[in-house]
Amino acid sequence: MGPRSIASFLMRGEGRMAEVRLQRVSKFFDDIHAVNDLSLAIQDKECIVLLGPTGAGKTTVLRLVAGLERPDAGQVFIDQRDVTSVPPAARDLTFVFQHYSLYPHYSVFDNLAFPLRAPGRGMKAAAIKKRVTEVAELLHIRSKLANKVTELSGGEMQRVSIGRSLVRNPKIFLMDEPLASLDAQLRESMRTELKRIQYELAATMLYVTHDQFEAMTLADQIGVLRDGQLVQLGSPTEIYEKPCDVYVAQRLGTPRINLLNARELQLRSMPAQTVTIGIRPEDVRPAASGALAGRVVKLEYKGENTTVTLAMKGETLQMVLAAGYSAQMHQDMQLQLRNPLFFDGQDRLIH
Amino acid sequence: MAEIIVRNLHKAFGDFNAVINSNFTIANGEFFVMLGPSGCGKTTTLRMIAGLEMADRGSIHLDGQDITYLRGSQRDIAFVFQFFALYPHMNVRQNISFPLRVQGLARKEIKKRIEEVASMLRIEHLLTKRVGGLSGGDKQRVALGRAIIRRAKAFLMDEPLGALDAEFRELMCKELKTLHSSINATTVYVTHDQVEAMSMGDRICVMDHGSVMQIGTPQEIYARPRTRFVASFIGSPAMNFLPVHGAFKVGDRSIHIGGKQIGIPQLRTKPERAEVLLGIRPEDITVTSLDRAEMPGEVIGIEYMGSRRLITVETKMGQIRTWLSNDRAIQYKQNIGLVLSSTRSILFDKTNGAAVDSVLFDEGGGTHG
Repeated sequence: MGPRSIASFLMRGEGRMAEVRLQRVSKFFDDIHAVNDLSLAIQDKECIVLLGPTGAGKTTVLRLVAGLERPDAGQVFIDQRDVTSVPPAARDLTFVFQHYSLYPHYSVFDNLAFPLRAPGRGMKAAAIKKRVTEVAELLHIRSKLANKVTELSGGEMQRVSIGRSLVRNPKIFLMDEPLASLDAQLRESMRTELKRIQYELAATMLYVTHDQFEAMTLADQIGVLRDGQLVQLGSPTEIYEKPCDVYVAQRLGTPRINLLNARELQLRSMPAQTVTIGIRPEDVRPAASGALAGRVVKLEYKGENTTVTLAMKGETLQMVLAAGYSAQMHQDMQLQLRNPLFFDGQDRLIH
Repeated sequence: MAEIIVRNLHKAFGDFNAVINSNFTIANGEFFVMLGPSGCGKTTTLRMIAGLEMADRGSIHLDGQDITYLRGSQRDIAFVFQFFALYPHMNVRQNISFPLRVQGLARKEIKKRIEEVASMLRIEHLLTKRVGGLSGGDKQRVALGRAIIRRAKAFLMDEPLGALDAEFRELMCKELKTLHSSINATTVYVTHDQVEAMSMGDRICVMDHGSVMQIGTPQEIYARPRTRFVASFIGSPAMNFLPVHGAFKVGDRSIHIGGKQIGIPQLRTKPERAEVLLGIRPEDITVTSLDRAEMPGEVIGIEYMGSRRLITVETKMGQIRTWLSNDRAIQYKQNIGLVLSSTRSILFDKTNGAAVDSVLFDEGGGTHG
């Protein structure tokens, strides 16, 4: 059975809808306003990634949807139904945590079968076996079914955790930094894997991370959070190319966006009320004559390219050196800027 | 001249060989990074230089002096740990000045040095604060301050940023680099994070299973890895490896994959075996139309990364990842062509992982451990 047909089997019960809506939800922990009057709708089959630094309220939002926290104000809806006071088990959703919580003394098969063996389910052994095998195939761990989970690599263990959330065929997936405890290379390959699974299952997903690459690659829409509030919701391209303010602009992109004082720099297209100019490091190019001139003060080799730091008029500017260009320390360079973003005195994007 | 020379260094714990016959020389003022997965022997090597572990065999020289069996306290070395070991009952000033007070330095000199260090680390405003209330970044700055105030001949750092979250880490990385260029002390820095290693190291020493695999500048390690391990450990997304079977000879400038001739840097030696892996980094592969393809494939992954997209392509040779700019249209399941750079690829022996020598390595290529 190919991945597509497995996916369609997993999604048995055609036409099932799974929408999540948060309506003006607030949550306090003592004096801390962890979630502040937040409204958010996740469409059927959509993947929304919540992005923000530690303490922005991402995990609390997830826990409110799961029912692990009760909101102090506002309502949570799943498929138009108010579930604000419905317990987690009755919400038909599944939660994957950062730290895989597997049963170490069980085999991979038994770990995957566990949710199906719940007493109330009354599922036949043959049906369980079939289901577990299919999920294992989707996650490329079929050959490991007989292994104990302690014999697995970190990536395989996390696949088993995800697999365990898949077997029940839930409508909604909630994921809280599921890749954060993996090392860089594993995280990267699992990220691709998750994207594939989400695409093939066409699952509704709410995913929390502080990793901008996970956010950009997995999300249909990214919700950027700050201090419990939703600052911007948009496609990865919108968030990257049209951030609504300086805070959002700084969340995506590495090296980070350059923020330059508009008084020091006169650009032709610049609106009058501009206070800060944002330029992404890949949008700075050496040129024969350009809008800016700077002196190279630092060269950082990053493998496939080099990040150049330039000093100019008391500010510094980072540039990702495009292929075909070279730079030496202390060299004076003329620079051309593409796609500048203009921000006003309140750090808001000027349209 | 605080040069560190390590010769035939060996350390075993029971029947586990933690460090196997290591050899390297760290130049005065160099920022030397030891990189590898956990258990590779990098921390054990560092601890032997510090005098926290004693070598079973071999020697360590610091500034011309044999320090192999000196006690840690007798070596003029400062050690920074991953978990900022600060005295919680002392304030920042007392923590930083502690090593000097132990040495019995004159009060005036201590004051002068504290001011110097505090301004270098930009923590002047924290001097009277208790360390308990400080953020992770500030705690690490205090720990660094305490290390640099002694003006030791060498600094040893064991994953000093490992406990910080990603955002702080990036910032501290920059600060450490700036600090190093202003005090210019010989520094040995242990990490398992390749990004940290690449951006900080003057040279990187890659270790695996107790052995030094390769030592070289970040450029050398990245562009001219001598083993498959080094090639796959450095770089994210990882290098692509494609299995190739063939009869190769010295002077070959191309190989055959799926009936197509694909250019490679001219071979200087003949691979020992017919089974090799073609290693090529994602940025050295171009997406083309099918008719111009060296290798056709189906798009199975498109990952938006802001300035560009990472594309995963299923080919007959396995999955290949490459970059694509945002202005090129592409869809899932689309059949596309790939063209591989003929100047950047490397053949690796499939059995032992050694790189097959080619003109690519003529450009100068790091020591082969």
